[in-house]
Amino acid sequence: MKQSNLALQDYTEIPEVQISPKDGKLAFVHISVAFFAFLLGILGGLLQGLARGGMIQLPSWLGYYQILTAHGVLLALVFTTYIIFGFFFAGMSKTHGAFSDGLRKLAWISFFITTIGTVMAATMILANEASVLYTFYAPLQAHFIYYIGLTLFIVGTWVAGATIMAHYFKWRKLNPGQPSPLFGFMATATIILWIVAGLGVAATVLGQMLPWALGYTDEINVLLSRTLFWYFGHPLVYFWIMPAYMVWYLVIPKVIGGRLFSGSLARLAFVLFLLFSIPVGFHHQLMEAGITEFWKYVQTILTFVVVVPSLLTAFSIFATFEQTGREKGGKGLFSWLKKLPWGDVRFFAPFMGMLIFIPAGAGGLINASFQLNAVIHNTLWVVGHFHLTVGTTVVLTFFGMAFWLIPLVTGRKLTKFMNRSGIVTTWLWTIGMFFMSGAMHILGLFGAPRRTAYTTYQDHPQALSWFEGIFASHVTVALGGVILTAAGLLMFYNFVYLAWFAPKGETEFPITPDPDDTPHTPAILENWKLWIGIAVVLILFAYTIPIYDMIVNAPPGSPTFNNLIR
Amino acid sequence: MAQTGMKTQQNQVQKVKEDSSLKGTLIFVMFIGSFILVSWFAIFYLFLIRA
Repeated sequence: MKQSNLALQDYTEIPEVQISPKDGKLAFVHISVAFFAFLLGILGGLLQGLARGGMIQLPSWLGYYQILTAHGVLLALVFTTYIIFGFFFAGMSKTHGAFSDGLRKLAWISFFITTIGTVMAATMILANEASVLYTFYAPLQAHFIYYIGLTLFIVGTWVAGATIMAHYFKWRKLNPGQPSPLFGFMATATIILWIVAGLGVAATVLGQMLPWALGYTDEINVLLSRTLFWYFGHPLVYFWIMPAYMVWYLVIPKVIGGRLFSGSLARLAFVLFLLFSIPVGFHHQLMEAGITEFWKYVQTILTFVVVVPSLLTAFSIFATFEQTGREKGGKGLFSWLKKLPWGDVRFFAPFMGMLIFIPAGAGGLINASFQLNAVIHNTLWVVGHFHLTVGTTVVLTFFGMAFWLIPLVTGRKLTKFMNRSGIVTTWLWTIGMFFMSGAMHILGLFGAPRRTAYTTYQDHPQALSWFEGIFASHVTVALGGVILTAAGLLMFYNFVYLAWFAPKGETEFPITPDPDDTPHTPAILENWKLWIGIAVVLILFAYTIPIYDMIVNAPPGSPTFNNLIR
Repeated sequence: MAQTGMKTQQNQVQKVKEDSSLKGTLIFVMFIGSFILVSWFAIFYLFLIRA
């Protein structure tokens, strides 16, 4: 605790270079939208958990699948995307200098396009015209305005991504032959991945779903639409996790008073994510007919390759901890851990996220293995899994980030009171998730399905047992959901306080000093043409033949189902 | 003098070695690997007994 208080004091009293106030405003607007979406999303989650557990009955005007859709879209898409771009704009301004007026204008245009799309999609969900869950699987059909909203959302993020990349490549042009700052390198890798992945969802929404929702076509090729969705859907996971990794690689070393273990290793990990996180979507479709075993096998292998950069990250971050702990005088095998600032929320919240990524990652490998997928497919296990990955690892990392990023862009200070509030929030979120996700995992192993409202299947004993277990019960899931909601409300309070009520002052953007190996960064790691080229080759290899097959030997088109789950 | 200088140098080398020890990291990554294997085989066992 003593150590942590010291770290916090250093942080609040010795600010370093600030970011341009205009860029700070841009970042703040993104972060604000993120937290308002977060508030609505967690309230949706609470209602969902209580209704699914049979503890409340939803009013007739509010559908279970409606709030399920709202919960997924607001948290998994809106909250994450806005806070990521808020982080990117602030970080690029800090590490590459202020954005030019032209680029900043483009960033604002991107914000408005994305937000118009968000409002359109959210309105349709609220009107119960788009209760298609956040995966919007055909043949469930939403109102065409929902699809237009989604399209604008994606296009808006592409424009934002282009702004950031333009800023990055401008820096490279001005500094030829130098390794680019890690922040820009990593943000660029993430954005390239996002743009390439987004092509899949754009293809299915514009080419299949929109004409179908507008009535130009009567039927839809479900297999193709799901394949294009998962071409996008898995890299989406990395679009969430890579910015969280950026916090781990770049921010945490500074917060703990050390420096990143290796810059080259970090760059290599991000290049591997770019190469291997896209041609792997079939591991979400292992139980689906219409895709041959061979291509499922190929993409499973590629899925296991993408585990490597995550393992590199685990090593790299822990090595950073150990190196720093020992430099501060820590001894023994693990006693140096005491030297880390456990009472500093900027470290503690992301650390809990890292810890939870261990079972989350192990669960991912289980999901991606064909036979094991047969055990857990379409069960609550999967829901428990992604509540650990995006719902805890990524979210807690972003919580920790919010405690310095928000005061940084609003010209305020992180107080000791707010730090304590953040620690309480982190504990509550972790405990709530232990109950909710833990119970979901076990219920899933007992066969409880996902994407299903409250039902006892005509009082079938197996289904009734899902409500009667001591830990493995829908009631435990609901209890965890209540604790998580309390944590979420507290986090929203933290956001409001840091944004508008914290004492005025200057706050540091904590970023690691250049790692020792920076001058020896292999130039090939910066060769974007090469990496994009290899990524495209891998995608073409993994998808061309199966997609050709899905089109040429298309399954019978499905008629529309648009009233099924209202 | 030379000997003392050498000793100091040796001490420094030893200190650097001790400071840059990554023994804890090695154990941690071994723990992660073992955790992954145990979880994986636990679910594989479920698959086998249910198949």
